[in-house]
Amino acid sequence: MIRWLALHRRIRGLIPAIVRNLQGCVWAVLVLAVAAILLLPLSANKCYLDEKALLVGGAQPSVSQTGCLDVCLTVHRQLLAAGTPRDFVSLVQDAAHAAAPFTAKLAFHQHAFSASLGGPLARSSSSSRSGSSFGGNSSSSGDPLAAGACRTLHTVVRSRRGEGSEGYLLLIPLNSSAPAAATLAAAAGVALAGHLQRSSWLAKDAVLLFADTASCTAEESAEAWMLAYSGPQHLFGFPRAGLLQQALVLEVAAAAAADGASSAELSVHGRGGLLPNLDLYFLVKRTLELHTSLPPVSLRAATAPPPRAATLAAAALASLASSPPLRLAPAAAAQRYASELLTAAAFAGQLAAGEATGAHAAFLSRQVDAATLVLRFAAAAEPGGGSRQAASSSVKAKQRAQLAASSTLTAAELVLRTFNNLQERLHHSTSLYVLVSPARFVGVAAYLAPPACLLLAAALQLIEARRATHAAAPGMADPSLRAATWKAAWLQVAAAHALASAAGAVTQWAGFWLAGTRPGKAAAALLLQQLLWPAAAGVAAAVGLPAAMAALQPDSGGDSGGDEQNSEGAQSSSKGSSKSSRQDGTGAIPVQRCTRVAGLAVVLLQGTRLLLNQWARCLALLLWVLPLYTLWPAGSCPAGTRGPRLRSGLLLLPLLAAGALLWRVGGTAPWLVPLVLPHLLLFGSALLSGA
Amino acid sequence: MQHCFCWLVLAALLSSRTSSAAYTEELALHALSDGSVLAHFEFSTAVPWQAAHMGTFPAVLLDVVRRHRVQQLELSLTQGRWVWEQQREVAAGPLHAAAGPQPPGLQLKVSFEDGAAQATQAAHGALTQALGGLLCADVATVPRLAVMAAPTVGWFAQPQPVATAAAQPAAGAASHSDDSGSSSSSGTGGQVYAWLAQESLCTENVAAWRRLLPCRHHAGLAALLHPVQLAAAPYHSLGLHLWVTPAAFGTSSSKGSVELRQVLTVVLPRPALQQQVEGQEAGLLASLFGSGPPGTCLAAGSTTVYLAGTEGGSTAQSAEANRTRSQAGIPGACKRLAVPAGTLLACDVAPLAPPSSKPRPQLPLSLLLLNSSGSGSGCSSGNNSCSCGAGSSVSESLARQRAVPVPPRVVQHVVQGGSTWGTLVVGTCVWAGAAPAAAPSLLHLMQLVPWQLLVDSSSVQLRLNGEVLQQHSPELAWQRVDARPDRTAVVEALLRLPTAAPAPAAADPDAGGWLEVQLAVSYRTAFVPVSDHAPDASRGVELPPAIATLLPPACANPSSTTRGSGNSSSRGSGRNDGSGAECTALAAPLLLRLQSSCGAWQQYSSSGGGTLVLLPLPDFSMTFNVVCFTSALLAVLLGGVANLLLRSPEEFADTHSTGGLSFWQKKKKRLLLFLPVLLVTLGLIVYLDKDMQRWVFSMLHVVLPHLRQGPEQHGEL
Repeated sequence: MIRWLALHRRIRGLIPAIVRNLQGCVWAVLVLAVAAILLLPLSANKCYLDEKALLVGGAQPSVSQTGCLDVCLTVHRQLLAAGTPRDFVSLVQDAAHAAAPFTAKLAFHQHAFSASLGGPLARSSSSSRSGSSFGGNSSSSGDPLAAGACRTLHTVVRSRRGEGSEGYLLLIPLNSSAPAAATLAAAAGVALAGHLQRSSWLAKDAVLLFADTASCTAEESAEAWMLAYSGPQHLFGFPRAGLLQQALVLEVAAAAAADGASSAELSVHGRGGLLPNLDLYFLVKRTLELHTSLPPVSLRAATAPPPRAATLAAAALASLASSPPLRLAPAAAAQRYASELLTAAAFAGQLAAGEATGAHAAFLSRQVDAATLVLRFAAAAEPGGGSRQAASSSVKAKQRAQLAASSTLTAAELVLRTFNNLQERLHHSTSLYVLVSPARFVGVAAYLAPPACLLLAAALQLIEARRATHAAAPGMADPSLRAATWKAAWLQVAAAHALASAAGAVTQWAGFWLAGTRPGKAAAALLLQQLLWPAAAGVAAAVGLPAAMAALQPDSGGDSGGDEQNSEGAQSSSKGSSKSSRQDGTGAIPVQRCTRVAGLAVVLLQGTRLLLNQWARCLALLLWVLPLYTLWPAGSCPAGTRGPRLRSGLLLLPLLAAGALLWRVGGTAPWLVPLVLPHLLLFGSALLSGA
Repeated sequence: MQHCFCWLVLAALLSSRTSSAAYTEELALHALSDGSVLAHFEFSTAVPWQAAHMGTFPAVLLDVVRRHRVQQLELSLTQGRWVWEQQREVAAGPLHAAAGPQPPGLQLKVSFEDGAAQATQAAHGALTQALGGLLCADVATVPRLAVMAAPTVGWFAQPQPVATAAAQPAAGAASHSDDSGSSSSSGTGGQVYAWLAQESLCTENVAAWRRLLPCRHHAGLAALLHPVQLAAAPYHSLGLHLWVTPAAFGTSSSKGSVELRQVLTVVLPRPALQQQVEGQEAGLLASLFGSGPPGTCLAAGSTTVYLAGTEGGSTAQSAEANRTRSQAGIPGACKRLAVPAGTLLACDVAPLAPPSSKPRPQLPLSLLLLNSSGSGSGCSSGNNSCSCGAGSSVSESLARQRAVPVPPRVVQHVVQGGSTWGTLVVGTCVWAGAAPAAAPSLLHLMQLVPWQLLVDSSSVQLRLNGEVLQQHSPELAWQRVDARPDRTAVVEALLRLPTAAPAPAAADPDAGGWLEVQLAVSYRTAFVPVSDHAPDASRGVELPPAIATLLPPACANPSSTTRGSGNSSSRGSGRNDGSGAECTALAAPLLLRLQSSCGAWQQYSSSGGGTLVLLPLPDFSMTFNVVCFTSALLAVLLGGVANLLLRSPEEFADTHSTGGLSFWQKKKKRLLLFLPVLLVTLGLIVYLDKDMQRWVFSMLHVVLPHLRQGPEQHGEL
């Protein structure tokens, strides 16, 4: 107890010292924030499976036992032996015919769409059947959809005992301009469908989707298909599998290495910074490591390779850390640290840019956990010379095809089987992570440290500004003057917030109307709610909270004992000089205070809204608006002091950063721009006027 | 002496069997084109309402019925799905009325004599407790967890309400067009519908269900049921169907008798059948169920197996079938019966002679296989799409050729607009037939929506072949939307389908076609407190399947039956007339139903399975860690922010004290600052948490007895 009291006394003694040297503390915290960013890789953890129901490794692949592998190889060989180039539909059709005894009763549905419009064509879909009669009414050569249109073919493998309320999806992009890879992928897909039909473990319906990537990207195809799947059209003609819970995009491509070595690569980035659950990423990776002979899975951290300058800087940092003067770590560890730092930067940069790294983004944006797995094999490479038949019949080619088919089928089967084990959505692990390497990640608790340091620096800066203003404006000791100024400033901030939010809402919805979208009654109600929200916030803040805060403020009611020394001199000129004091720019204390109260009001009200299920929109607003209000400039600090100039300079940095980020995000999340832009403009104008 | 005693017991059993004859056992078998076999068991019994001796009727069940004044009850426990293509095959055969699909999980339909809401609620709660104990099922959780509502019509297999509406279309349209749906008086009497998706059918349910039979699993057709085989089947469903028949005129009691039908429908997979085909000596029942013919249940008046006839096949096929059948030798107990949809073979597998006198008849497996080849609908299982608006299909052409009934196809689909709103679409595809009928068919659509989704009653939209049906459209008899907060919403509509459907463009103009009815309703997600989420909250909310009841013109009289649920009463057969308080013999109810079917169907969407709707929810999978961690973090963060914003830097630095305030005055001042925050927080908690509201109200109710009751449980009527 005595020790505790002594510690408590020591801490209380430390606070005045901190307050006296606040500016130094601000700089220290800023340096700490930068250091925390650089030290992020050191706080990384190894990836692990948090959801135990996944049972990764609990089942052995059975594609060899059921004959699926043989069928795949046979189909692959037959398609290669035919030699004639095929378009997308005929490729899948021929593959299904070749595998007909194995994949009986397989019905494919064709969906055609326009890539430019993103929606279905006038005659959007037609059904075609596989198995004994694939021909059906599939598109003929005279079909207007055949030229320049994008197409998908999908089939649903129904579980024998499932209820049909949920399912998962396997998307296989086929590019007919790369026939070797497309042939292998089509053969694997068709054989896998037959294997799933025979599987007794199938508890959910499985969707097998082939996408034509010759004229559209896989992401466009997936987006158009999801649009049709989730739309109200074609209730009976479009086979569905209930609510899609997970999806895997399986790309088969030619080996990138010169020696033709096989490899596997995973992509997880969705649009707008969306990520799948970490369990999904790791289960795919772990499945490949456990059951295939492929090398360790690599990570596609960004669409573009890191700039050369960053690579050089990382190398220099690694050599500096392991060099004799410092010798902070062994060379290998330093090298790994530098590599992880580079990967983390690329991963975070891709997140901030909001750009996707694969076709799985279409599923992620519809709350379907998804990832893209790219398998590269030598068997999928185009033969350099000689006839294709010769290439397909050589012993080495057979071995390569065997390896490729086995790896592809095993990976697909076991990943889908893992999906099959889930009774709920993936929810044990997190979707907030930064991968620093294929096997290690930084969790949200760790990567929030740098922003927390920045926020702490901002808060300390506010306190410092308050202290400096107190010292510089003794004339504001008059309680009534301060209350009046405070109230006027508060009204200004509340009205500004309400106007900015209302302007944002109107601009956002005006964009929809101008784009030709006719929102229904629900959308109109949502707009009304958005308009009412800032109005209510403004009124509540201006009427309710100021009174409460005025009562709560220890130094605004006139009984503030700390102001006694100044009150005598101030009382004589208080009433007469109140107006002039408000005009000469000495109302900095109320402005700061009401700014803080505005921040608190935003926190409380938006937090309440958060609780009321508006969490997605609210979280975005909170993340954007709160720092702006917290960093609201002092406005009218006395000139000549060192603090305001420094503060204004510091505050320009987050403004510029926010503007830059908004510019990047605007490309992927345009709905956010009109909501945030008014607040940003308001903040900028206040900052400039204050400076 | 012991030998004599055995003979006495046997004689007593036989005499009781012949005197009452109120218990029958029936089994309908239909071989499907994919090799699987549909087997539908039906065990029927009855007892007078005021009988002192129960006979073969389960005494516990009768006590429950009497105590809670149950008028009608249907309970089903189902696992798996019976796909629409297989239903279509069965519908094309003579056993079309034997069984219908049931939705997965637990479905309970009850009608009470007392129609008051409070009495219904109480009786339903007590009834679920009793049924839960009777079937070893979690029926008792129905009032708390199930999607439960009191719809108007269309959900019992008894089609009387719909038929009544058909008989009085004008009056029905005028009196029932209540689309506001905000009133609590739904006028449904004491009817309750409940659906619990999470309840799966397990072997203990089957065992408890068999214990209600007089011979249990020791003899009779119930001895054929093996739990392991049932569990491996892609679809199996057991049910209890019970109803009270009115007494004859002039009797003292208003109730005549209580009839009970225990049904079990199973689709046996192909491997189980093919393994036994190799041994040709094995009989039909042994091949299907893996055991020999069961011992005779002495309490049963008849034990009959029905097989589809061969009328559907070509002449050559029939000749071949007859030739093979004569070679195989049809037991003398089998006889051919004509039903409206063809012919069927009825075989009595339990002759009245004592079991030891002669060997029981063996039904050859070839009977079933031949019948399947001849009476099959001709639909290959590859044709799995309804051709509603998408050209012709084999089923359509088949229906044109033979005018066989085609079950309606119902599809449920959720269009999620965002995380908090969406549209629920129910599509129904009805085969309108080639020839125009004299009177319009009636289609009743019902969709229940759980309380977690708030239905916008003004957004209900009905389309017939793509055209929006207005309020006063002649095709729309009436519609009703009951959308109240914290209650299961009910959307119902009754449509008169056109007599001649517009033919699809690609089809023969005079051949008729499909009618597509689409029901769309918008919803938004309600605020679901943590305590009201299901344990598997991340799975989403399960929407119950939509129910479509199709009533062709032939069923317009109330005596007709609904075949979809396979459990309709056989009142229309004239069996009950004048029965009075005496319990008449149930002369093969399944056969009566097959003979008197009118072609009505009750169909569930997507072969019975519901649809999942995602809810935005916090992650509370690791409650302790997550809550503790986040709470601590939020406390530190918000405490720091509040300190920063509410207290001056001088106070932080302690450079300026708060004047002459003493230590306790400072504490008091801080307490005064803290109290409003505490009160606001508590108010917010009580406002958001329904469980907390109930707790607070119950505590206040103790102090203030006259206080109004707190918020009710979700899912109440």
